[in-house]
Amino acid sequence: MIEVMKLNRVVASLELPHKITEANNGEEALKVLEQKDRLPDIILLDLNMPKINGIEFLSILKNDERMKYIPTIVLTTSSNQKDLLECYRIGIAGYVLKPLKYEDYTSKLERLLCYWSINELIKV
Amino acid sequence: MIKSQVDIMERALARERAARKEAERILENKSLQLYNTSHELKVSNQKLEELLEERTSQLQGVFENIYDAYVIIDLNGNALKMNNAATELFGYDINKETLNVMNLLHKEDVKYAFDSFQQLTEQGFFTDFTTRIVTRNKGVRWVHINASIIFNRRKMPIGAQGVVRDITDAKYTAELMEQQKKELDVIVENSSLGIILIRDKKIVRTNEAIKKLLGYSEKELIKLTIEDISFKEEMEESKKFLMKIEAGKIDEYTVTKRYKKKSGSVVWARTNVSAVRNGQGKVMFLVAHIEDITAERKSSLIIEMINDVAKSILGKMDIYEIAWEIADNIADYLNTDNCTIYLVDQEQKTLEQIATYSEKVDIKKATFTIGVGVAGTVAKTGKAEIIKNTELEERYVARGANLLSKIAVPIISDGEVIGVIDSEHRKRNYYTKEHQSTLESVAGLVAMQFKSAINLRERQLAESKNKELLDELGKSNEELQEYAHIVSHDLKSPLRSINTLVTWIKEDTKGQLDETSVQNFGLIESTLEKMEMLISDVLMYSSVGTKDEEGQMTDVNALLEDLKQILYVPEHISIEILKPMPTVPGDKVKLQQLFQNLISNAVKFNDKKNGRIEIGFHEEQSFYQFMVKDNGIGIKKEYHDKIFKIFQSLNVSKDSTGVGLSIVKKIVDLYGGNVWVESTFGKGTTFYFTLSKG
Repeated sequence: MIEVMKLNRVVASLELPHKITEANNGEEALKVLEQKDRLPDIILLDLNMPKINGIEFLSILKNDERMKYIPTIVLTTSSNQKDLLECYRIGIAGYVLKPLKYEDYTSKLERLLCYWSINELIKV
Repeated sequence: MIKSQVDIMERALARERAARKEAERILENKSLQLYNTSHELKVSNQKLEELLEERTSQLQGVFENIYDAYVIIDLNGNALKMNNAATELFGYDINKETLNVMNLLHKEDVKYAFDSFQQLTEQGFFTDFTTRIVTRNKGVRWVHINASIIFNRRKMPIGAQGVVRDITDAKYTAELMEQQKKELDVIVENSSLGIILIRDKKIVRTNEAIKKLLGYSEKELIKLTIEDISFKEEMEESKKFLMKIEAGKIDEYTVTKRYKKKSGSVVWARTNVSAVRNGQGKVMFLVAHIEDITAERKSSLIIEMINDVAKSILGKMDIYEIAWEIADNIADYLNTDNCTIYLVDQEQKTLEQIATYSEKVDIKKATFTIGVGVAGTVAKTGKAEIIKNTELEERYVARGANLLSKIAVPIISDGEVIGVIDSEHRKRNYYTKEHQSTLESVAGLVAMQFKSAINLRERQLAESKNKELLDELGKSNEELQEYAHIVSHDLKSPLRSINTLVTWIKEDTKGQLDETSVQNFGLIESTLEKMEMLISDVLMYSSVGTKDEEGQMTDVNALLEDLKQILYVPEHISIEILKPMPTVPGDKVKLQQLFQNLISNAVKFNDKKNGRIEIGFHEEQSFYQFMVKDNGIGIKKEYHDKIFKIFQSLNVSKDSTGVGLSIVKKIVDLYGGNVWVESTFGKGTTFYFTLSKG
């Protein structure tokens, strides 16, 4: 809950024009993604989710002909080397560690969103 | 005189006259007849005499020329006539001297001679009189005499004639032969070899030994042929040899074959057959010498079997293979199709069936309890047992159909029963003491290897168990690290949320809170930071244990350069690397953690105006010894050991979790090194650690 609020607040405070669709776990996220006409530009993925975990979810995404083009950035507290390697192996667009401090978080997200805003994205 | 009387007289006279006349006439006739007869007689006598003379001379010629001695004696025994052979035989020449045959008699034969002579006079002849005589030159000769009485014309005995044959040589030869035959018989009868004389495939003579060996009497034997007491399949070989003998190619041969005893049992014998040929080389007899080698064969079978067992298990280490070889060889030796080898586990108190030689290959592998059943009893007592009749045995546990006798022998090593050899047979009373002692020999022979195979199996079991444990340990270690990551993640997330919320409250209430509250929020934040650090450090500590990839080398110079970038080093503190650092084996991340912890400690705990940190090393034969020296606050002696233990932070500091030095120690341990500290409280601290070169 707080994570979503945090993200929304960051987007709001930075006055960025992005729309955020939240999903509490992998299952929900897949449901959201079923609406093919409203696919997101980028996905921010936490690895530690109930039911389908982050890596499983990532695998599903990357095996889908359309969704595999959506840049997926892992946003997590886990600096586990194994997870990091596995994510890059499956295919991610970035791996960002959540810092403790809110200000650090804000600045990291701002830069992240700015970066992806200037990227050309593929719509399939 | 009375007329009548005269008449009578006259008549009588007249009758007398007539009678005389008649008589004269008859007489005349008779005398004529007599004359004629005597004349005829005379003539025929003359003829006869002539004939006799002729014959006598003929006979004389014959007698004189016959090989045997011919003697004519008078009734007193004086020799009247002797032929040359007689002269030669007796040594007396009657033309020159007199000879009474009584003088020729051998002293010992005198009575016999007189009896025979008596017979001669009574019956007129004797035949086949065999006696000894003494010749003129005192030689003793055996003679054979046929004699008859000579009568004169008046049928009165006037002498005797006899044919005397010298049988000394013949008799000597016969005696010699008899003697030799007796000797031979003694040899033959007392021979330990069975001897059979065969003519035309029939048994014609046997000796005591063969009768004893086969259990037949001589009468029974001579009704049999060799084929009757042999096994068909073994006759082929003998027949081939016999054909060669017939053909004259060989004179003897030797085979090892079985014979059927009268009792039905079998005897193994080495048989030597020799041919006895006549002058033309034709086989007259076959002599077979038969030697009972059943015992020899048995013992050679035993030796062979024991040899086979020894050979077959040589070099084998697998308990099942060894057991199978033992079972196989023993079943063969015992001529049974049932032999089982049990492994005895004295700790579990069980017998495990590990090999079974039987027609049914897939008999279920059974496990018994020690003390149960016959094999179980043997496993318990260590004493071999023979069960003559399994039907009468209470302990017997039937495993196959109709197995009526059983033997079980323990395999003993160091006084402990480690296995049991078990065999069963369809016949009652099958197993003998000899079987038992043979199996015991085998058991003794295999015990050592059996034991080492058991040990090997146990070791392998233990090893695989160890490996399992290790795998499990590795897995649980891995799980533990995963767990550490998950836990740290789960712990960090709420920390972030709290931190975020605090930040928001601070933002949203800017200017509305008093200074104490603002300070307290600051404390919450720094506590959160410390908590975050603690979690990170614990996580790091737990990941130090993970294995590196083999053969990684790390250049310490590059590592320190990186660290200078990462670490926050205040202006007043200088870090000096005394000389170029070596390249050491080890994972870069871990070695960096090692240096990072030591250097950051040196930075953190420096109270001097001009903080100085020196990093150096020297090389030893098998390791490098590094040094991180500072001029900081120093550590009291009593804490020198304590500092390397986890959560033993000496200083209450916002930067210190108390995990850092434990991580250092853990990494140094991982690379087979040592870490220690030298310090003067208030003046500074030097950490030393070594890293192995390989």
